[in-house]
Amino acid sequence: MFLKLLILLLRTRFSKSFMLIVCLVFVYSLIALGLGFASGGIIPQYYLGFIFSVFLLPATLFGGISINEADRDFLFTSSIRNRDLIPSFYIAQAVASSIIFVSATFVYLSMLTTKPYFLWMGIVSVVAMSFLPISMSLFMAGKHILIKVSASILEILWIFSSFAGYNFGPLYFLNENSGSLISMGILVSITVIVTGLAFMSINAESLPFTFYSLSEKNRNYFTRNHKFSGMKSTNAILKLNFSQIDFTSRMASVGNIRVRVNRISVYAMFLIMCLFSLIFYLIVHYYLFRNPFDLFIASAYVAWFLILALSTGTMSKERAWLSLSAMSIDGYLRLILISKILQSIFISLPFFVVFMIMSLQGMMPYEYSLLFLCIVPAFSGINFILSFLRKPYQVLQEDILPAIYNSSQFMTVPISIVNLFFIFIVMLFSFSFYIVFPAAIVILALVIHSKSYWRDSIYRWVEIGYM
Amino acid sequence: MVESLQGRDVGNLEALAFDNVTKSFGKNIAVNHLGFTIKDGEKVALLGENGAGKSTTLKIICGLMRPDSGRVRIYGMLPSSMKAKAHIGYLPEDPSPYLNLSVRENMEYIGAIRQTRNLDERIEDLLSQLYLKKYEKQKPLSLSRGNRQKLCLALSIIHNPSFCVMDEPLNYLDIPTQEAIFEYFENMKSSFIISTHILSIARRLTERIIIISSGQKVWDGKLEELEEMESAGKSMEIVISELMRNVP
Repeated sequence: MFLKLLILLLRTRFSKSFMLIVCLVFVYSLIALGLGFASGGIIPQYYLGFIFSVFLLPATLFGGISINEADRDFLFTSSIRNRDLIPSFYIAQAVASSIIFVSATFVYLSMLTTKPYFLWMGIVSVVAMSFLPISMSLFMAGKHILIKVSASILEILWIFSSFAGYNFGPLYFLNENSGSLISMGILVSITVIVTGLAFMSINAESLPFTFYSLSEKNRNYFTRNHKFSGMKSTNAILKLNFSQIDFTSRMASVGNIRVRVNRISVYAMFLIMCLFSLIFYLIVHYYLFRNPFDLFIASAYVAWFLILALSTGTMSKERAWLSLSAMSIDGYLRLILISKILQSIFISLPFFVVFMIMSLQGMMPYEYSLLFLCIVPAFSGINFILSFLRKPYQVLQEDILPAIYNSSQFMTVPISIVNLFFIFIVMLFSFSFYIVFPAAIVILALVIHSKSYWRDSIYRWVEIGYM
Repeated sequence: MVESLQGRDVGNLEALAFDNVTKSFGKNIAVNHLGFTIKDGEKVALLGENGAGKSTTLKIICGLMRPDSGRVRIYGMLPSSMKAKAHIGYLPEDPSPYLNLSVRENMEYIGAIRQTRNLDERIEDLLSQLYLKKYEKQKPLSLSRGNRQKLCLALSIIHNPSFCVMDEPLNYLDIPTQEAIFEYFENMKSSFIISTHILSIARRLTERIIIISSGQKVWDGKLEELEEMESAGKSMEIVISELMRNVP
């Protein structure tokens, strides 16, 4: 029964789309890490820490297990013994997670092939790192948000301690010295303990309830109620789309592909960005980036993150039958585009100020600060335009977490690689700014002006099921 | 514009002209030279088998889908025009509101976009008529499917549309709400085209029935004419199924 169930679950977690996504992640890691290697600096080490954080933190906070409607309605209501169901469910999820994680870190592991002693250590650590988020997700299911936040803070400190020279950090093994074995041992021990605790927490009759609590509904932290009554339609659209950011997290919850939209107020986000930019400044100033090239790459990544964060969730909440049938399609979408550009300028300001301060201190040229302020809104707008080129998805049932998603929903990965490419071009060859930025403005202006682009896009979307 | 129609004689104005419309998806012809008209104030049911082209027809009427050929006019205007949009209230099948806005925020936002007069009063009225008042601060995801349907109904008629295009409007609704909706729709002077599978809804809400099959019209007439076709041993359902299979 266990094997039959495991095979069934693995089949529901793997598809051609899933494998395509694995490939896209691999290509992305090649590009991102390749550029990091080129710098000759410390970016590759931080890349692994970043990927581990991307997997571990959302899994702790939001849950990393993927459950679809069929699981809920048929699997959990079937008379299957827990000793069959729990391990098979866990293994299916963990394998899916591992494949994505390994594809994201394979390039780094390949670096270690010349050092067999550290290679096996790297492999064991990567496997542990890919299993830990799944276990953490199960263990934290149903726990109070404060416990989850506290655990996440501890996780951040644990990951960063590796770079501060503590050999109990999970990534300390990257230093390739005598402390590496201790680092790996602690990581594996923690993974085993948390996995054991996760299994204990979901034994007996608690499995369906645990999974239900994993898929708890969108809490919408840092939000406030809007008032639109008495406003002109234009103002209402600008207000909603400027003051609200809709983050979509796609792979945020481990490799088990899951989509959700989290609403956050732009003002809360502004404060968060102020904090991040301050931390960034302190790190740059006192600790990390000795190599100016690393600084350029880091600032490019900040720009890229903002572009993605501010533009990918915009259309997921839209409804063709509501706003788009209430007023002219082109007028509505233009207003969204304009409000998103204004929003990205607003959100970029804290980092812009920090970059300007660093420029004044001679740490980077002034041009990069200006580039940053221009490139984020321009590419956020272009990302929004490009979003019509891929098959849309709408988040209609956030409480249902599909395991299989059409790979076209992941077209943001190649699109974001193109974004990143242009950002790097501009960052590396500052004169290209005078070509790329005007070109971006011309593209934006042409598309904003074109009624047919927006209308045709929406007609096409409605035909393939977007409502 | 909506207000300007309400002074006119009901029955003299053409609310919808749907003339010889065809729409294909690849090789699949969803709507095949379909044509009918709806007078202002007339309430029409659109019946058809699964996949007959009902939803596609409604999307074309609302200007959300472009027909391959044929002519569609709402009060003489193109469905995609701003003026026509101001008249239309559209409810698709299994609709979803903005999930990230509360019930009231949804109503305020769409009401503002629709430039609804006396919006606050209108919202209060709809909240109370559809028994949604106690959910006004909740997000749609925390509502039951029925309450979400009520919200979507409210959003589709918040601007007092003169032409309502509804796809299975009573899906998921409890009996008291269904009765409230029947009463509410009966009191509205608007034109209606309602796609439904449930005959009792067609009987209660509409006076004329159009039956389509494979994207073509197979029958168009008054409800009474359909009732006359009923004979001993042949229920209305059997008569309609036979008509649906009778594709020219």
